[in-house]
Amino acid sequence: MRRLFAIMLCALLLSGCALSSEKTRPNDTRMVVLATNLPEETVLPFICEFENRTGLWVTVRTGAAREVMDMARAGQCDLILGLGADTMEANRDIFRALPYEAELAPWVPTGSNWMPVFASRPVIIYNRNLIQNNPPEEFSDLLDPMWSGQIAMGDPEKCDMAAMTLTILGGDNQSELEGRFACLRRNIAALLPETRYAVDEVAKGNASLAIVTSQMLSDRPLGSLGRVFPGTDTMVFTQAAGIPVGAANPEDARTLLSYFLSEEVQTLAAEHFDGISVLSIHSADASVNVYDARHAGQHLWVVMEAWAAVWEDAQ
Amino acid sequence: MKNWIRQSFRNRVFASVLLITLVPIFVCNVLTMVIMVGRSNRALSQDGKAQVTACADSFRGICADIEEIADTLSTGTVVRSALRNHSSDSRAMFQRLNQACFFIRDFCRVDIVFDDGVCAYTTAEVNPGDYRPDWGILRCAAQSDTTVYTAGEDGTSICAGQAVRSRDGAVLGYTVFTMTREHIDSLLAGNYSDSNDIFIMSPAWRMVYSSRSAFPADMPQILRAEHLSGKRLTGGDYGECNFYSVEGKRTDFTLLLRQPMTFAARVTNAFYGVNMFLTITSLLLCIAYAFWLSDHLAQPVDKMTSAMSRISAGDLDTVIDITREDEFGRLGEDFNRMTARYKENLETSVSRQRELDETQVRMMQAQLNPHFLYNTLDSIKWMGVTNHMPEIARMSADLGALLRASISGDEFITLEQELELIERYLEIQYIRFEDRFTCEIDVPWELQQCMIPKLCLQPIVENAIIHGVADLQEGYIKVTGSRDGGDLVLCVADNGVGFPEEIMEQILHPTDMHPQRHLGLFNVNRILRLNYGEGSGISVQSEPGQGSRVLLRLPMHPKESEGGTNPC
Repeated sequence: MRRLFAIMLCALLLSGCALSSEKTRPNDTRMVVLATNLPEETVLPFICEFENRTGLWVTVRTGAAREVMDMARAGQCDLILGLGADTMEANRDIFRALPYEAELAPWVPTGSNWMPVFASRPVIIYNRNLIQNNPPEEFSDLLDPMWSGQIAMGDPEKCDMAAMTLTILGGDNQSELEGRFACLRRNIAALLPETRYAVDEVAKGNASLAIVTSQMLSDRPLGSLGRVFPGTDTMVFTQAAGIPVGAANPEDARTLLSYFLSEEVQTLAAEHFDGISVLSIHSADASVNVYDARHAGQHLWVVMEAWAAVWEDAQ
Repeated sequence: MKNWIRQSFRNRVFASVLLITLVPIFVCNVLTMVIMVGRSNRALSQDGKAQVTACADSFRGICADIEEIADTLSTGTVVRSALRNHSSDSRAMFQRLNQACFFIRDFCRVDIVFDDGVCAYTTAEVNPGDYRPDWGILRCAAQSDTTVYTAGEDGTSICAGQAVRSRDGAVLGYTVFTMTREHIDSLLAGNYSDSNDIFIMSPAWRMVYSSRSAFPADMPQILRAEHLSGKRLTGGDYGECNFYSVEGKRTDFTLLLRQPMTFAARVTNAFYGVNMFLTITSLLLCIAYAFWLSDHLAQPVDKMTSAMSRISAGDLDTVIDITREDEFGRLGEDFNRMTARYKENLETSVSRQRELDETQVRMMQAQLNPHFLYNTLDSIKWMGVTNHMPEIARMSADLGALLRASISGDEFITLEQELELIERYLEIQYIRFEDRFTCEIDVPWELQQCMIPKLCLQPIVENAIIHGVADLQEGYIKVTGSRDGGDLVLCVADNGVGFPEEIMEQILHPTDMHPQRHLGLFNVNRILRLNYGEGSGISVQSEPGQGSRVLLRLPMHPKESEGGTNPC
């Protein structure tokens, strides 16, 4: 009787722990994991259409350039998107070989493992309330002491747009690089986790000017922002894609990459991203000074070392 | 533990009280919790399922209407004609569109779109803008002959579309139905309670509608990730919720109802915490109460046990200190009373034993050289005979008979033998008092066979002679016997001077003190009471100068006869 009572008591207590719950499980779903440093809202319209067309599901993971690269190294994603060509070229070993480069983007170095997907132009933005006369016209103008403490910029250690800015501003040898970076360091007001935050910083007046991409200005009113496309150094900033060696689902990743390179997507992207399609960079706009990815990729480590030296000295 | 309980009355009371107070409290608490949570969850589940089903029904209803209208418009001549002619100002077309969409215009916007994506007609007040023909809903509609559904390009609306085709199958344009957030709000209003949220997920489980405008930004991703991994939907750490889903058969969209749990884990934990607190509090109270009660019950028992031990050890002065008026108090009083009576009886017994011992000593002293006295009396008797003095001879013979009876070892003799001794004694007294009194003995023969203590009647007769009729010229004494129930009543009556007051008082209220006079009377009374108890003894009726009656009452004990019937 005592045992029965004890068993009943235990059953009574345990019954309170069992609660029903709704469970859902998709049918045998194929899924691609996309890691990108672009804002999710930028890529989502393309992704939704892709899912609608193919029935593949895409999981989007966002982060800064370094985080995206870490995900690629760890095999946590099937495709990465949005990193600059120099960063991709500098880390080409962690990506699978792609078959597209010759026909889609002749300027991509032969044998590259990455592919440009989106393109936009670097642009100098400034707060028109703070700079009413004589805004900078060239990238090199940003090194002028008159902009001391007035430039917002992403952290080059984390953000490849900022790293690209360094390569734009930098010179050919170590001393030249460090000299220019010292001038830039003097002019920096805030170092941000990502370059796109600089748009808000300048708009709010926390900084006077910054180098961003035309893509970052799409779909938003300029308001107090003024923008300058540097005339003599006009170039495009490509946002590239690559399939990591450790990707779990490389075939579907390739399908997604092909979709990004399709005419519909590129046309739509060109509408959104300042009219530049990676398919037409080489042929459509002869005035564009195409970014030398191979050189930048090889030169990136030197640039970053010079920057690190200057930054540590300043600290 | 078992031994600990069995060893002590206090422990048993303590454990019993603890058990019968704690277990019901604990069981009731747990039972109440389990039933309450279970019923609440069941009611919530039923309610949630009913609400999401109602929403799904509404959604299916509007989809059915949309498909019917899309079919109507797509096959209508007016629409085809307008699209074929790229006419965007056809009055007939406007009328047809408004007429067909009258009942659903609160729930969606309807656009008629040319094959190049230009929106030609709309039920909205403002033209929504052009569509991309190779993108989104138009691309899907162009590939299907029926109504198709996709998420809107902005990701926050639901689009349905159907291609309008010519008779040869060429696409002339499209009918596009767009359900914005406001439309879906109107559609689902009243189908779910305000405390719940409705989400609509696209076929790829991207959130296209939320009934709540402000919700955590990462919740859609969390839900999608949970759905993909097959886990139970939680929506992240934004409060514990139940999710109920209905998948649309026509649209592949999924309706999700998010229902906050009434008894979330933290609420349940709080309940269990309070429950535990109450149980611990109850435990402490019960321990205190059980301790007090067991102590309260065991204390008098302990006192009594201790007192019993002391009494067993011989301390008869032990008294329990009574401080209570309940049953234990009364029990203690009874115990004290019993102890006192026991002590009194013991003292009485000791006293009687002492008296008995003294009597035996006296008897032994009295028996010293009895044969010497008897032989002397016998010599006197024969000297009286030899010298022709018959009275001396008779007195010596009678005295010898009395002496023999008094020193014999028999404690009890028959009444007949006692009466014979009395007659011997009377013979002596007649000589002494020169026949100034007479004594009559009138005892039925059958009563004379009863056993009585030896010499218990003779002292009464002696007392009647010495203190009653000694000074009279014509004294009269009568000895009678009668039966009163089971008692034998012997009466010695005389017409003497009667008993003095102080003697009467001593007889009525006897004490252990020996009186100075009427010693025989006192001794007989004591002998009868010692032998037969308080119901036996002597009673006296006396009137000064009128005489007295001394009654002896004792139980009737027959002589053990040797065959034949004993008359007693």
